[in-house]
Amino acid sequence: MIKCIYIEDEIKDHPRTLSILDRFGSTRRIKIKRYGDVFNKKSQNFRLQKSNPALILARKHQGLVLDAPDSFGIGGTKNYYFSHMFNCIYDCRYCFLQGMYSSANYVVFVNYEDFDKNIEDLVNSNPNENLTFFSGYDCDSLALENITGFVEHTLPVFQKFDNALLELRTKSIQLKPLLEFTPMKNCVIAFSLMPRAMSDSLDHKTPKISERIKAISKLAELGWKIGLRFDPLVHGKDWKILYKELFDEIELNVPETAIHSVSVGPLRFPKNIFKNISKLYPEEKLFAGPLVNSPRTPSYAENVEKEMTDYCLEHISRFVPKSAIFNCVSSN
Amino acid sequence: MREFNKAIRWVVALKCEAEPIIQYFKMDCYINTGPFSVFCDREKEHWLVLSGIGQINSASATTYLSEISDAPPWAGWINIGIAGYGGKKLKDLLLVDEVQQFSTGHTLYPGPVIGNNLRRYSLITVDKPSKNYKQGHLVDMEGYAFFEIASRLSSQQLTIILKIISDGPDEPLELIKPETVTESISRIINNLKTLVQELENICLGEAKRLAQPKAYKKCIQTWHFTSSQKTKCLELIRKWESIFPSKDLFSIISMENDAKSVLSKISKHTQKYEIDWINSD
Ligand code: SF4
Repeated sequence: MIKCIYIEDEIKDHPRTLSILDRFGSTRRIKIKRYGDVFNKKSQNFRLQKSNPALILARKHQGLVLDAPDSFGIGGTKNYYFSHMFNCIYDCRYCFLQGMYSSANYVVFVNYEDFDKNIEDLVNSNPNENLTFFSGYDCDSLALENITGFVEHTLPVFQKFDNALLELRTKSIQLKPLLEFTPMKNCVIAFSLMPRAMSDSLDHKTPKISERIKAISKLAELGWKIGLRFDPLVHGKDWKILYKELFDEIELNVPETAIHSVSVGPLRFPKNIFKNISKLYPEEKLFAGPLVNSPRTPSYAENVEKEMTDYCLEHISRFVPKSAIFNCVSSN
Repeated sequence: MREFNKAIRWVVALKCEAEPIIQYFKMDCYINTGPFSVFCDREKEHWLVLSGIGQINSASATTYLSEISDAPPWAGWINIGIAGYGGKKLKDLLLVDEVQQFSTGHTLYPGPVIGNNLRRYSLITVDKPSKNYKQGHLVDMEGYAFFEIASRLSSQQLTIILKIISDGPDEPLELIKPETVTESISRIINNLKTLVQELENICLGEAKRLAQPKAYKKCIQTWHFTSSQKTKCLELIRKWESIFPSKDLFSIISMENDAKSVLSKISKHTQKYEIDWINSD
C-alpha cells in the first residue's frame, strides 16, 4: 500500500499525474522540486524502504531512449531501451536495481509523450534498419499497469511502425491491457523465467512460474508474440533436472509458432552492484553459490557458465528454431 | 549465533518533554557534567540526550549521544517534542515526513517505515520562536538539524521525528507551561510505546544484517590476519553462515595454525557447496 506520493512541481498539473492521483484518494502528497531530491539521497535504506515504498511522479528530461548494452538483442539491427519507471513492485534477490539505486521508491515518469517523440525520431531517422526498443530494464513493464497505464499508452505508438519492435519485459500476469488490444506483430511480450524451485526462493512477491506459463499460453493463444527470457541462469543442486523440467513444461504449454525469441543470460553482477546487494542480503544463499570474483563482474566460473549455457541452449533448440535463440552475454 | 541489544536513541530539547519518556523507559542519569545531560536504562538499550533548544544544540547533542552511547549504525533515532501549528490543535502524536530548514529553504524527506497509523505532517524548523504559523505545517526549532545528522549516523528510515502540537495562532508559545507539555507527552505514552516496539524490531533486523558475525570477531582474536585477510575472512564467514546457519564454524577451524590455513579451510567447505533450491527454506 502506497502511503505517500511525492509530486514534482513541474508535472503537478499533467493530465497523467492527475489521473494517477485520482486512484489514490486521500493518500498523503508532498510536492518536491526534482525527484532526485528524494530518490537519490544516500542515507536511505533500500531493504527497509522496500517494505513500504512511496510513489514519486516526475518528468524525465534527458536520456529518455538510450542505446541498449551490446548483450541485448533479439534479431534487430539497432537496439534501444527506455524506462517510464524506476524500481519495481517485485523483489527478486538477483535484481540489479537494488544495488543500483539508493531508494526503493517507485519513480514514474509521466511524460510518456516525450518518450514517444524520441522513439518516433529514431524510427524515422533509421528507415532502413530494424530497430528494437526494450522496455522493462529499470522496472517491470506490466506490473504497475493499473496505476501507470504505460502499456495501454505505448502499444498504439508502435502500431504505426513497420521497422520497430517493442519488447515488454515482465513477470506480471496482469494481462488486461494486452487483452484489450489486437495482438501486434511488432510487439513481443517477454517473460522472465527460471525453474520453479529457484523462483520460489529468489523471486519474491512475483507471480509463480506456473502462473506465468499460464499467462504465456493465454497470450500465445490470442496471437501475441512471446519472448522467453532465461536470464539469469541460476546454478544449484540438480540444476540440469530443474531446467529440463521447466523447458518441458514450456514446450507442453507454449506453441512453437508463438515464440518470437528466446534468450539466455548468465548470472553476472557489476562489482559495485554486487557489493551493495550482498550487503543488503548477506544471508542470501544465492550469493553463497559458486560465484567467482572476476575483475569486473562476480559471476559463476567460466566453465560453469559455459556448461549451463550450452545445456540450456541445447534443450531449448529442441522446441525453438535456432534462429530465434539468443545468448545474452555481456563482455566482462 | 548472534545476539543483539535493542538500540534506541532519543534526542529531546526540554526536560519537561523528556520527563515522561525517562520515567516510562526507566532511564537514569548517565552523565550530567558534559555539554549535555544524558540518560539511559539499565540494559543500555534506550539512551536520551537533553539537547536544549535550537538547531545547533540539536545537531551537537545528536553527535554527542552517538559517541557517548556508542550508537550502532542500526540504532533507531527519535526526536520528540512540541511544535507550533497553523491549524486546528490536535492532541495526537504526529509523524513528520517532510522537514524544511526555514533559513535556507533546504528540505529533507524522512521516509519513516513505522507509524503507518499516525497522521503525517510537514515541519518547518526555524531559528527563532515565530508567531508566523503556516497553515497545515508544524513549526519547531530542532527537527531539521536532528534529522540531517541522525539519518547519516543510521538511516533515513530509522530516524523518526514525532511532534505534539503545543501552540498556534490562538495559543501563543509563551503561555504554554512546562507541566502542560509534560502532560501532553504523558498522554501519548502508550502510542509511543507501540511505535517504539515497532522500531526496536526493525532495528534488531538491521543489527542481524549489519553486525560483524561473532565467529569473525573470535577468528581475529585467535589468529593474526592481515587487513586483506580480514576482508576475505569476513566474506567467507558470511558465506558460511548463510550456507550453514546453525553449524559451529569453530568445529572445523579450531585446530588450524594460522590465518592462511583458516581461510583455506573455510574456502574448501564453502566452495564445495551446491545450493539445494528444492529443500531450501
Ligand atoms: S521483476 Fe525484474 S525489475 Fe522487478 S524486482 Fe524482479 S528482476 Fe527486478
